[in-house]
Amino acid sequence: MDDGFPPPPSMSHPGIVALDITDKFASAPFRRVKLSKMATSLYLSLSPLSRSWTRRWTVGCLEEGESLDEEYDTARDLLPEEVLGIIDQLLCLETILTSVYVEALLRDPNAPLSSMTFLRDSASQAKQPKFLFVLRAYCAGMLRGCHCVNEVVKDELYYEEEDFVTNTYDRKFLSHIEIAEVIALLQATRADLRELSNDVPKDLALALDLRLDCFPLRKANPDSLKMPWIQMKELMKHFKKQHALAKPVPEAFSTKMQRRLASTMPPRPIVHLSFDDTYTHFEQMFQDGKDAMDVLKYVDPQSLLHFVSIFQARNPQPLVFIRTMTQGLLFKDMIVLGHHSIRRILDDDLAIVVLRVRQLDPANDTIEVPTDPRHQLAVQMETFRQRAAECYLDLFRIFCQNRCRVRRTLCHSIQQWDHLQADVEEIDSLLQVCLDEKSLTTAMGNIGHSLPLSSWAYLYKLRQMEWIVQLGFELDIYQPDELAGMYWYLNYLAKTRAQHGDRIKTFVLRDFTAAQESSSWSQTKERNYTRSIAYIRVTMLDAACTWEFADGLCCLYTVLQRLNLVKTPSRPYSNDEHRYEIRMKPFVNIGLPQLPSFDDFTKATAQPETSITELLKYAENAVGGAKKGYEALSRMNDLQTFSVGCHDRWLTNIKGCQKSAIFAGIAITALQKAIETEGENAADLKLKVELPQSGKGYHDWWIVPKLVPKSES
Amino acid sequence: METATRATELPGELRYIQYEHALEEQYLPAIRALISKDLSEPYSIYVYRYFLYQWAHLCYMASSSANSNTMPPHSPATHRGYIAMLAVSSAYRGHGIATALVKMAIDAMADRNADEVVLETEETNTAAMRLYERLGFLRSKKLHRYYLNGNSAYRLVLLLKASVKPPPPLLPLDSASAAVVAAGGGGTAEDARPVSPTH
Amino acid sequence: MESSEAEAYLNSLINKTLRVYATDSRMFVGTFKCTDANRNVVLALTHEYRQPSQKQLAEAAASFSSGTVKAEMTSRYLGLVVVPGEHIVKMEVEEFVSQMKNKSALGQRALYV
Repeated sequence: MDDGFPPPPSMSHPGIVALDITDKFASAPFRRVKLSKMATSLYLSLSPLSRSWTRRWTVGCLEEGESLDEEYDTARDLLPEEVLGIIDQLLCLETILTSVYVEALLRDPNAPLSSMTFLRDSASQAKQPKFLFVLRAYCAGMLRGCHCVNEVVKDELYYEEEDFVTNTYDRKFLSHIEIAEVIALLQATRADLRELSNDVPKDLALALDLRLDCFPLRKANPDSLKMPWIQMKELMKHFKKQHALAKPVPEAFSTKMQRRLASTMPPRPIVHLSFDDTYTHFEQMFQDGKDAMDVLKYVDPQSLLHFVSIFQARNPQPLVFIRTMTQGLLFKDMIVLGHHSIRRILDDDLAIVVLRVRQLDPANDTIEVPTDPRHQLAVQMETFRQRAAECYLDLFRIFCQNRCRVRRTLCHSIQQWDHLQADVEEIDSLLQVCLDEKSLTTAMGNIGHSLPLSSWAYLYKLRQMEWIVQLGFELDIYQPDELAGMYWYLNYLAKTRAQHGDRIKTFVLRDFTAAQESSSWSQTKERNYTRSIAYIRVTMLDAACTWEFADGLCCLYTVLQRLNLVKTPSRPYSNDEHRYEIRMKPFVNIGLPQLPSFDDFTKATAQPETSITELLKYAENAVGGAKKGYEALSRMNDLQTFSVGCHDRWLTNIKGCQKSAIFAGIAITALQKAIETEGENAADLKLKVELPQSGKGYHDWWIVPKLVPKSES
Repeated sequence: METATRATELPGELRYIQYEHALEEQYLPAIRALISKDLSEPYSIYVYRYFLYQWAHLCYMASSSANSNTMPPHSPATHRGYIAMLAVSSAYRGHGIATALVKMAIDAMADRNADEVVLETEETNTAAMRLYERLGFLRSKKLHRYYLNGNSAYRLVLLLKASVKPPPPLLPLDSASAAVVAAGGGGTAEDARPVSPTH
Repeated sequence: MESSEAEAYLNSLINKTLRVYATDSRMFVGTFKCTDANRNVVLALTHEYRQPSQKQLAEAAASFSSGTVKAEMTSRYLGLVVVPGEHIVKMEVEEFVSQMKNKSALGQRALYV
């Protein structure tokens, strides 16, 4: 890769002389020299480097007798089992730039494939060690493969260093060589290897042959995109069995190799991953790769969002290659999943979430008379799509990031959606004139106009706000005495979402009733309305579960804090209000729902008017309600829950929530019983609280405390 | 730190010293040795000087025969204090030395009108996290694979002054990040929202 | 050297191109930015040069039958670096021949001021 490094200056320019200043420099009485001015100018130049100043940029010096040049001779003779050993070691590496063979092969970056060898000159070519050609072909395939992976990763959003290092420090991984040429080399090598069958034990020959077969560089048939992943997984099983035949050659790898790279970074340590661990990683990656292809089975955008968010939430998360590949499948060339326009996805989503048949009718686009309201509809809807598309597609992309970034990026995303909601509300009011929509009066009074577009944006914004809080639990952001408050806030957000869902439902039902009576009623329309109503139901059920469960846990943690079973540190440098400000910073600028004031938040969380017994009773009911809700959800099918294509994973997720609710119920009961017999004095309860370690609970988003008897001490 | 064997008595009397440049020759080698032993990240001598020259008045050491130190500067433009490189020699742990040093640093930064103090700590360093959290720090975000050794970090924040309310509603990023970026200092530019990559 | 003179001298080197030779026979060529009491030298826009190894020399010698053997110094770009003072064996400053001539008329000291 050309990183735009300046070319090295010529060492022997006739116009330049080098004067020896060693002695003069050394004789300067440094101790007395005031360096502050010099230093300050340097530090000023350093500060924009931000984080990189923490990295070492002292040039490492070699120990006495140590040489920077690798003494290893890449022309040495290798036994076939050593070739296999090196190949398997390469498989286990985090960076292949520690291999002397890779270094040797890349010596001349622009050489044609035919002259890329481990040997320095043509003289030694003739007496080339017998099995070296196998390693050469493997390295060529591996490097070209690594180049492809790098390109896939770099095409999408990922974080360099944090997720992956695509930087090859001016090393070209055979990017100038056609894939077909590399494949031809691999095939020819396999044929040559067969010729040597008398010199290599059969099982070893097979092991080498299969390793030359492991580069799915061929253009895959789009109908069988899963095949390479399935094949690789099978091959890997053979590799595992055959690994015992390999004889390692540790001296063929050295961190020193990296000192030749154009970089101020210190050499990366060689991470010694065992072959078994490597196998596990690859096996999981091939499985993930295969599973990721299911994303192409598009049914509806809600199922798609479920697919992406649940697939990427697995712990451990899919590797960056899978995450960037998923992004490629989703968005490559601005065509969703290789088939669908962004408009189609967006309109599908609106039709599910806030169905307004007349707004979404594609026939509106054909009306050219500017005064026709249908023309107006088409124009306004296009304005909406232009405004909303990026925010909407970013949601899918965000979930393909590492979990820390998902949370941090959502914090920025909700600001965008907050603006989006305000902007599209203007479009809503223009449309409501075009459609001559009347405001709606229900038993609750006048609830205004339907505002479908801003309703849509608001629903997504609320969901993202919940995700931010839930990811906080997952990433272990909150201290134990923050849990009550954060579950209260989650309950507040979910409740708002449930109420908002109810408002949407009211308008969809009004339209549904009116449409049924109209002359243009059709089966398609009926299907669309049914689907929309089903979506709102399941959304409200999901929101209600979160609302209840979070409410229950809030009450439980509040009780635990009152009983001092969850302790509050003294925090001499802070106060509750300051910490509330930091904690709620992502939400403070959001217009709707407005962040509760610190006093309201404190009162709602601590519930000072409510007794411990009442709080526990309340928690019991809420958690019980959530448990029933999850049960109901788990009985619904993939169509009803908009989890087509990912229902298994979706169900596992719901079951995890359900299990968490069951165990929260057990904790509440245990506490109720203890209080019944021992009273509300913490010391008498002889209980202590255990919180699950991060990632070790029944569900990462629900931190359920365990109450265990306190051992007498 | 809590799990380290507690010396029942400190070997010798402890002195807390505010760093100044004249002390470099006397103390810096020991400081470097201590920090390179206890913290995973490799630092060059100029990283030490980056802190020690510019913010000597905010750097503290505790010394008897061994020593510990903390070097917290804050950027005057943003009033965001920063704590870096805190380490206590293992034989001296469990005596509240680290807490004392952090308190001195926070006090000094509060005196100089800092609005908040931030730092990063390795996710595996539970002792450090407990120390800071007991003083009032909160984890504000998790940073994936932040350190060279592949470990993630938490950013911890201590708010010293409440921000002026109400905040302007149309700021593109949270105001602190934006301010730091503008000052060319902190490391929060990476937090900018993702833009779909250009092809 | 007097303290003020030394300081002036060091300051005069700032932003000049230095060649710093290290104990392990590497050479760093970069713009001088800073030094300190331990003679650690900070260079910007640095390139590292390494002497060809014995092996490379031998190989080069083998492939050329004629009298002169030419083996390239290998180089790579490093950027901003610190060369530890203890590892420095030799330092050179690059000067333009044209300027040298002008300066020599003003005496050697002019170089350092």
